[in-house]
Amino acid sequence: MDNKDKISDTFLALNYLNLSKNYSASELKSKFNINMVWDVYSNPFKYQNQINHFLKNKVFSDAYFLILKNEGCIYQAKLNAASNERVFSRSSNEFKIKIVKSNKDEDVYYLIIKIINDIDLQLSNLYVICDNKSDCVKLPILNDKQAQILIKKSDNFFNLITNPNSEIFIR
Amino acid sequence: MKKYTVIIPTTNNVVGINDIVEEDPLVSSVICENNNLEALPISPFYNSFVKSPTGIIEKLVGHSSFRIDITKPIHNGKSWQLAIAIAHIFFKNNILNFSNEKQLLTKKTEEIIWASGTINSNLEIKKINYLDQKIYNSMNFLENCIKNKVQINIVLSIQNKNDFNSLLSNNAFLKDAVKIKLIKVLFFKNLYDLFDHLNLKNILKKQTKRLSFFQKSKKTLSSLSIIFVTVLFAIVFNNVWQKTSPLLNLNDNKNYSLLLTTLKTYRYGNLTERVVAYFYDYIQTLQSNEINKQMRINFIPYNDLESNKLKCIQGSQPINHVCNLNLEVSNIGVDTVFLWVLKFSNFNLEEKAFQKTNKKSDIVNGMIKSNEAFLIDIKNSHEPITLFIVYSKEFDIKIIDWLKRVDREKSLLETTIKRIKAFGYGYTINSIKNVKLIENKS
Repeated sequence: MDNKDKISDTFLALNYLNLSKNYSASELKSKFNINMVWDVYSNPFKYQNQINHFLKNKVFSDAYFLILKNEGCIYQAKLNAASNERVFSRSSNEFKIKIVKSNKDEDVYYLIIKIINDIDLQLSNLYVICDNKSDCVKLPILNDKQAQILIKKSDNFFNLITNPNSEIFIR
Repeated sequence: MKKYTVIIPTTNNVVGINDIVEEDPLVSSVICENNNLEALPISPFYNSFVKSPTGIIEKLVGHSSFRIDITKPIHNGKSWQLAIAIAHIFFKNNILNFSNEKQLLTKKTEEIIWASGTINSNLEIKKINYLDQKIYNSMNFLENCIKNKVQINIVLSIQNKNDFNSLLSNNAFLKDAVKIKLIKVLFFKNLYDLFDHLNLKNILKKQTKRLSFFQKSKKTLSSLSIIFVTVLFAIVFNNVWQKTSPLLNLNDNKNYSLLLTTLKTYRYGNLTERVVAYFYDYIQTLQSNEINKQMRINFIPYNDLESNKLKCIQGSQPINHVCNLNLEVSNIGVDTVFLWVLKFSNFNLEEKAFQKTNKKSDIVNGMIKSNEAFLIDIKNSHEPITLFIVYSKEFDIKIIDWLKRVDREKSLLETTIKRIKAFGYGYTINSIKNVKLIENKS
């Protein structure tokens, strides 16, 4: 890493120092600190297998999603007037989501993500957060600004992504 | 009907097909391994291979989205295309036997298709690389098939024939198996030939050009528009004919006054009548021009007095007033032409108000055969005269009556000209002015 990048990261980390007030002593024991959050944000591939474990920590999750929001991501807010308990299609100005049941297996669904505009960000993960619960899936390579993920109905991710009160981040 | 098990040889594995499921058209087609949730990396290529217009599977089986499960992963390359295409067509026609995760051959397996090749949009089977590796990796499987009395069909592009033959020479097992027809090796140019060979012609028919609904509609529309235009043309033609035939009858019967009246009515009538009048006039003008073209007029001055002879040499312009004039009218055309020549004084028209009596007019009538001339002596007069000559290919007695009245009034001259034009007769009008020429001698 260049000195320039180090300085840049330090200043960014300083911006988020106030978040550190939220870390209790016990949480510090679990090796989370603001630098760690920043590192996870900066290196999503490095922490790909651990990210869901990290997100179980509320403070980490709050800090992480705050950084995501501030530093750039594409985002869908909660649905204000959802008519169903579960939503299988939602859209924002930035991307659309459709969830289609597989004919092969009733427990399997296709999550289809369609990015609407060209974006400069490298999109590697899709995060869902709802009522302090969050989950993350790795995005496959976008093909014609579209990606498709197979998800299981029985998984927590399915419950979150179909929940109208979920917020969705792609970064 | 006999069912086939389709095998996809790769450089690493021998791959069977577990399952094929038609999915919602919104879904991109995916290839997964043994019912796993993770799509294999070749899925986007498989999707392109399926979905029209780039893909061929949708065109062949009529559905645009599938999930296909295979027994072992395929990471890259495109040689799976031939086997997958065959599998889709067999699946559509319910003659595909699926493999198990652990067993490529099942109890139901009677015959296998071991296929490797790429396919283009014309269903042509193209050459693949690493054939030797694929065969080598499949040796155990092929031996197992023979042991289980399963007929083996190796399907390759005709472009791989030489590669395979060179492999045979180095592989005794393969050579013997091919020799005793335990393994059939089939080389094809395209997918149609393969299905033809397997007596499954009905499954994959060569697509004759079927017309789409739009094309059909387009064809119907063009037929209808031709009919419409024809009917419209017939109606217009009928209308025009209804208006034209009376004119032609009147012309044939030489009912001139009624013809002229009808023409006049047409010229101020509705669109059809105006069009008919226009065309009638146009044709008559052409006829009139044709007669005019075949007539030549020549004025020949002369004087019998020796002293004036030199003053009246032909070709000098202007002609001296002491000269007499001969009018020579020649017919250079093929047909015989009748002519009527009216000579009248200009005073009759222009100075009517000052003249109490008309100057006498002369009318000469004659016939000129082809390549003959007609000579008229125009008596010398001391006033300007006009020569009005009418030509016709038929003799028309009424022309004399019309000419008799011409010199009475200028409007009658104009009416006669219109009349003559209307009947397609030719005419010329020449004015001979008797003037004094003052030359400047200084």
